[in-house]
Amino acid sequence: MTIRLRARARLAVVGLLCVCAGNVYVLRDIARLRHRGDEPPWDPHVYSARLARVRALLPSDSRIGYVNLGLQDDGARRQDLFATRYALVPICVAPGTDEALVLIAGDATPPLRGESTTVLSDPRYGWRLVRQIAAP
Amino acid sequence: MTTAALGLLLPAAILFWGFARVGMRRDGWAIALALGQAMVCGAGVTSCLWFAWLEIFGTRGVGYVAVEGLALLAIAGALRRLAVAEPRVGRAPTAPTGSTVIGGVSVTRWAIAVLVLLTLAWIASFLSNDALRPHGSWDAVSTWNLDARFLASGYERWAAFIHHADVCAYHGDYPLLLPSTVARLWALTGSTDPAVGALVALWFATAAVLLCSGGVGTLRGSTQGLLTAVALLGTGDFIEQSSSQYADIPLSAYMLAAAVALGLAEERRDSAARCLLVAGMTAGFAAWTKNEGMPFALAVVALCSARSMRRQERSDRVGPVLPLLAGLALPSLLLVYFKYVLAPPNDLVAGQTAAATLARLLSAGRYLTVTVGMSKALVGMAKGLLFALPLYFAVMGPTESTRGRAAARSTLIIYAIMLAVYCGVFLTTPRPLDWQLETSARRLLLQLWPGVLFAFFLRVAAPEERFGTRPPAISSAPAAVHTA
Repeated sequence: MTIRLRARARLAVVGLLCVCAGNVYVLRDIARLRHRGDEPPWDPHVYSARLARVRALLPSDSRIGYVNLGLQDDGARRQDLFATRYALVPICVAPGTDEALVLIAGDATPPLRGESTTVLSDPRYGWRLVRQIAAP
Repeated sequence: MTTAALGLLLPAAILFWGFARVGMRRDGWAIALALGQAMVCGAGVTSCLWFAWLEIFGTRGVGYVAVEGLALLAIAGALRRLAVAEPRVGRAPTAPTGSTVIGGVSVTRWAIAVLVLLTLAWIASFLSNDALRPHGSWDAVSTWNLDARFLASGYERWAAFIHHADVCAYHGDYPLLLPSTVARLWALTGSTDPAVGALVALWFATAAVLLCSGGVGTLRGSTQGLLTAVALLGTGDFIEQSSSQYADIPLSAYMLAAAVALGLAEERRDSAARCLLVAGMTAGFAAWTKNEGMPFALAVVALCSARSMRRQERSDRVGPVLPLLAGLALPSLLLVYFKYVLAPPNDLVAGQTAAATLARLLSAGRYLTVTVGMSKALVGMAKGLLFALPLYFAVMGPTESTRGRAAARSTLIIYAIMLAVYCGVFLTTPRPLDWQLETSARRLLLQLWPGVLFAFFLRVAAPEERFGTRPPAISSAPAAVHTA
């Protein structure tokens, strides 16, 4: 009986080590490097390059609004907002059009509070920075 | 990058001097444990000091470096002083290792081989993920590293950001240990190199492995310590999350550090005052890392208070809690200041009304959804280990050694409280329950996983006990403590 118990114990240790060793499947992550399409749509590098001109134009203590009407899905819109925020640090980016300066991504124009002037635009990346003239 | 690494290594080295004790040189597991403790405490202390300095003085300078160095030396000195003021501790007795052989190779060597394999896989996975997402995964970009970048951009920018966090931040109420650690290193290096975020992530994951295996190895011997490390690195989600630059692995490391320190105090394997000071510090750092750390810190205080209340003498009731509270003081003060002065309200709390919360609590369907969701998350997080570990316990059985019993018990009590808290949060969340479970349940369970492994390997019989001749039961605490 003791021999059987020892054999079971050995089997249990081997089984545990094998289950743990199975975790080497994480090496699949290396393979992902080859598939460059795996970059997230909210890649900070892409957003940094896209918004470099806005960053260069605005003082670092600015606060701007941000709207992207080109995205329909709530999740995608949220990711787009957060990636924009990250790319524009230390400029504070609030969703919506309540700020005097509003960054608009996409072709559609959101309802603004009266008249506005375009401060900067980038047709290549499809964004416009507008200043709302009406007093808040 | 070298400067950033030194920014983590030097505080840890100073505190390691504080954690080191007589006779430790011969005990590799005690060194691993002290290293893990020094790593998490070093990052925690410097994070608190750096943020406090930023809020008080607004600017950085040589003065800060001097204050940080002195504070670390003072803490290390206090740790050493508490260690020598009480009985010195002997080396943990280990079970005999004579006949633990499988296929002509000792279990220890098998475990080392698997550990090396998993460590290599972990490093490769970490580097690949870092190359693919150098700024971290989704929450790192939306919350943790965003906060870090504002902190590193100077006081005025940070103040402007946090005062408008309700519109300019996502989860602006999340505590700042991780962002301020990254920001401190960015400030030291003078750039916002994303590799620093990855370095900090690797730092905490390594500390978690050292704490988990070092805690078990110190109390139960080499084979158990190695198997603990293998099991932790054998957890897929641990590997994946360690490179995400989220706060879950740092939080799990702080929770584990507190549980191990409490366990060592209960086992009388070290000076009780020192252990409780460390438990208080690390529980406080857990609260300063993530909101989930707050109930954890309360659970630690409640457990220690309950234990103290059972004592006969009044002085014995108050005395043990004092080092714990002393350790908690700095992070708790900062957290209270942050939460009440700077941070916007928490979305989960702000979304509650008495009637709505009661309705959610009375909904039987939500209990079912939470049970199913948590079960799925557990299977997804632990994968094969969820079935392998109970099977392993069924075959090996509980250890006959009394060593580690008290530590495992206190760890399981605190972690059970945390599990109940997590379930309670899911039950009452004002957000869509399915979405909340899907996006966070696995990470919440991962926060508890290292502690569960710590308790598991403390209580399961070691291979030495089942392979060969049955070793004599290792007696409990008093035998391990040698008076100076």
